[in-house]
Amino acid sequence: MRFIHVSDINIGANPDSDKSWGKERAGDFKDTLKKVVDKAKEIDCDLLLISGNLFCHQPVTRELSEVNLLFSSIPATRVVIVAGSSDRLRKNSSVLSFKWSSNVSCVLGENFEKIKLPALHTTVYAASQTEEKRDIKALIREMSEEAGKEPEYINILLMYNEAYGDEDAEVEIRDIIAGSSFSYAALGGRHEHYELIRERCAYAGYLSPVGMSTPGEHGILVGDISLASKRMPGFDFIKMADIAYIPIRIEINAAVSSDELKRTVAGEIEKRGEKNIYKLKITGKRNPDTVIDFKDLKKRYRIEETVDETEPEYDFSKLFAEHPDDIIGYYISSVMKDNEDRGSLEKRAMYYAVDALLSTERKRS
Amino acid sequence: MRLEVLQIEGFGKFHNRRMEFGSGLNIVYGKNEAGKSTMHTFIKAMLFGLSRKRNKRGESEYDRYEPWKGGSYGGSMELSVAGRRLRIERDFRKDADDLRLTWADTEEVVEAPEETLKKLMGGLTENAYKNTISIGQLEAQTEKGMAGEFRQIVSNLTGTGSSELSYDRAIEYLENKKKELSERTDENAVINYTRRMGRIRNLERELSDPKYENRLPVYTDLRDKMRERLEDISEEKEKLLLKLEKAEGTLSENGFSDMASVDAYEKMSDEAFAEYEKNSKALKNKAKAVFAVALCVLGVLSLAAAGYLFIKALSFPDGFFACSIIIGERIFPAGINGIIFIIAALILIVCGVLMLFRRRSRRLKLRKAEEKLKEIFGAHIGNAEISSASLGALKERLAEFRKLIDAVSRSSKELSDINEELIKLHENRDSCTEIIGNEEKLRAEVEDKLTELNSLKSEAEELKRIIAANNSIKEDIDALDLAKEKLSELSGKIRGSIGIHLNKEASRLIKDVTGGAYDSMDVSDDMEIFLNTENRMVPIESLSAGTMDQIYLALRISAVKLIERGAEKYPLIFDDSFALYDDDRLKMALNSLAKAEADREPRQMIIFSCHHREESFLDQAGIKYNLIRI
Repeated sequence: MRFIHVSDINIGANPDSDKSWGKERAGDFKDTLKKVVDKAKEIDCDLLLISGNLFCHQPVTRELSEVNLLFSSIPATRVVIVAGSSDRLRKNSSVLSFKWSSNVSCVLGENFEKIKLPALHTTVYAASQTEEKRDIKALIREMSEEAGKEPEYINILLMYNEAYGDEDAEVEIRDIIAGSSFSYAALGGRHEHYELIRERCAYAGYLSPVGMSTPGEHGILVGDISLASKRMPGFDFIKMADIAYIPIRIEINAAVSSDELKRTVAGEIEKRGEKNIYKLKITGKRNPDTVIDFKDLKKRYRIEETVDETEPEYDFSKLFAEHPDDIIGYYISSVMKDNEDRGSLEKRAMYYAVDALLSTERKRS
Repeated sequence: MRLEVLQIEGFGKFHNRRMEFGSGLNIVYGKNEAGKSTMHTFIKAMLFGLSRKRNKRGESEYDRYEPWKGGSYGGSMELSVAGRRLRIERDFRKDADDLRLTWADTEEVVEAPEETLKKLMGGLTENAYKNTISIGQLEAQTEKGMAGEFRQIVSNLTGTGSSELSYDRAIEYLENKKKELSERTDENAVINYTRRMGRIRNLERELSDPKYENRLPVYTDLRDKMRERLEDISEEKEKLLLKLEKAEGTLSENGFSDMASVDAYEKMSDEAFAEYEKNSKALKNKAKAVFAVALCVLGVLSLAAAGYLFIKALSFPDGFFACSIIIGERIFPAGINGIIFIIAALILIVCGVLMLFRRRSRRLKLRKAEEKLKEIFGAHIGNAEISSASLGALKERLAEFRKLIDAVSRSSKELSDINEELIKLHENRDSCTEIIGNEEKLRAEVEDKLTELNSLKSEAEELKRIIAANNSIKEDIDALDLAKEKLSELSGKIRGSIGIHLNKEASRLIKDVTGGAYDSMDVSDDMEIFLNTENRMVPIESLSAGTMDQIYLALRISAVKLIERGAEKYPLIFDDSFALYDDDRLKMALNSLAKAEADREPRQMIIFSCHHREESFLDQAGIKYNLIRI
């Protein structure tokens, strides 16, 4: 029984709407799902598990229809969908009255559902997230007990873990699943793919990144469960997302000029791929004449944000010696004498003041 | 300005004493109590007069320097000033200090000597003199007194003009930067975000209205069930209708419509059969027929008898009624008997005929009943034989009809039930369809709202990002504002700053005197002195005593220069200043003094000392000086 586990597809997300590549990004989520469907076709996937957040919001019928059309193109693959935190079931949800293609099961109840797939000798125990707060551990325990009654089947758990991040809960969930008869537990809710129990329980991670909070590679998990052993001899992560959000930190020193810095940044970006989206963080001491400005690079590359944490390396001692009798020296001496730790605001203000004094001074002379 | 000649007429221990100074370094040597301080005081008294103010012990300067041997109290001092030679003469005996100023080169007496002297001193007050030009023993503590005087000096100075200009330009620069940053912020982001969030909350509240709950699955399910039921019972109805039609056909073929018609038919059959039975029985009885014929025959006989009698009677003259006939022994009145016979004959014939007629009518009835029964039996049991067995068979048949009628009535009832349910189902289906229609309308509303909500959320997310970017720009703007604030605070202070006036010169000197170990220093507004090192400003206290001396010296010279304001140089007078110095310190100090301003026009320096160390060091160093022994 070959399955694909995918999670947090987030159709409808528009993470970079204010950027030039925003439109492309907005379309990526559906496109990546299409790639998953193609992959399912290609590898003769029996079961496509979607562990929550197929949509990043309450889907409307139009969106459901689009997705359904995709799924209907793989009639040989059973698709099981549960709702996650973003697309959780509400009493007014359109999905409640949506007619899915015959190969698609969408869990709509408040409790878990037992989806029997006799042809695959498999039962999927799946639960959707609703507006009601649920006790995940109790729910998993309940499903595990139920699955324990039919150990002759390949039993699969499918749900979104909205409690992700609660480490105690995670340990308990892991223990319950480890002691259950589940051949595989497909979980959603974590940014990156992660095997909670080796070859038995995993988070698929976001199918596509949604911003700097979701760095790294994103894709699907593919597994084969043997009918005989009910275990998974093969389990792989396959990258699906074309675009990654990559933070780059560059430390400079006073010897680095503006142009050199730009060349370094361009090099780092070229190395990692021009299509990716970058957040630049420049740290270290810079020459006061070095300007941290990537306006022209931003035209060529996808630089989402630049964080300038550099500090100009002023030689206050030298500056004071040069300006002992004017406002520059007066200011610098007050700065030099003040041994208190400056907050970042004070520090920045100080550099601004020095910069203002010096650059106007330079202009004058 | 230089001190040239002192002529003491009488001042403390000195009487009629003349002393000449050189233009550069002068060492005034005298043992302790030789009168160095007295001489020092004399110089000050010549410049500023002698104070008669008494101190706490009731002693005044005036009292202190009363000439020991009496006589005149005062003297004169010649100065080089403004390129001329000026003689100051004072007689302290006079109530007010008797000041005389004379230009020594022309012996021209100066009018308004007080004002002129003040003017010539270039703003050097007595206090400034004490704190700058005249230098006592060099101790850190003694320098504290400089602060107030310096402040006084500085407050009278202008010359922060360049700083003010710098300040204005710097502020303008910061303003421009702020403007540039402000242009990059979207001021409406917060308000737009708040608006969207408001709308989102409203939409979510609207959407949580129970009327928007998705009940379509419930109602479509219901409708499907109703549709199924409708189909089922419609089929049932069809079947029933067929059955009914058939049964009713059978019944109507047999001429029945209802139970009453069967009852009537049965009754009719029974009656016909009874008639048949009765008549056929009666007709089978031949005796009655014989009897009737006999009656008729008797009647005819009677009538013949009657006729006979009547003929007799009529032929009998005695009258009709008188005629008698004897038959046997009996006599019968012929007429009356004839009448009796007629009556009897009539009765007999009538009876006989009647009986015959009756029989005939029975035969007719029988035939009729027979026909009827034949018809009935023929129709229902296919057997025309009239018998009670046939009747039984008929009755069985009729019982079947009754059953059929029963069934028909039951079916009709069922049909009417079905019809009723159908009507109800149709009604329910219609109302369900209506509800579904409404639900679908509501769904459309929900979807519209959801679509709006989703796009609002997306916009709000974008605005949130913009606000975050704004906030980071705002932090920069705050930093710019703070920078402005700091600079303006600074510019307020800089006017009263001592450092700004002293630093440059003092720094230049310090570089000289420390051989480049320090290249600049800063004098705070509290006269605290900091040295500029690579990493920080080091307070002077952390330096060695020798270095401190050098720095103070440099500072003093700078202060003096400040008072001079680039005009004439004042002399420096050291009154046993180096008494506490060890040899090394003294060497260094003398070196510094000699080096200070060595590049320019030398300053006159007068060092009062009770040691010969100064002389020997200067000799060793090959520095020229003028020695005066007291």
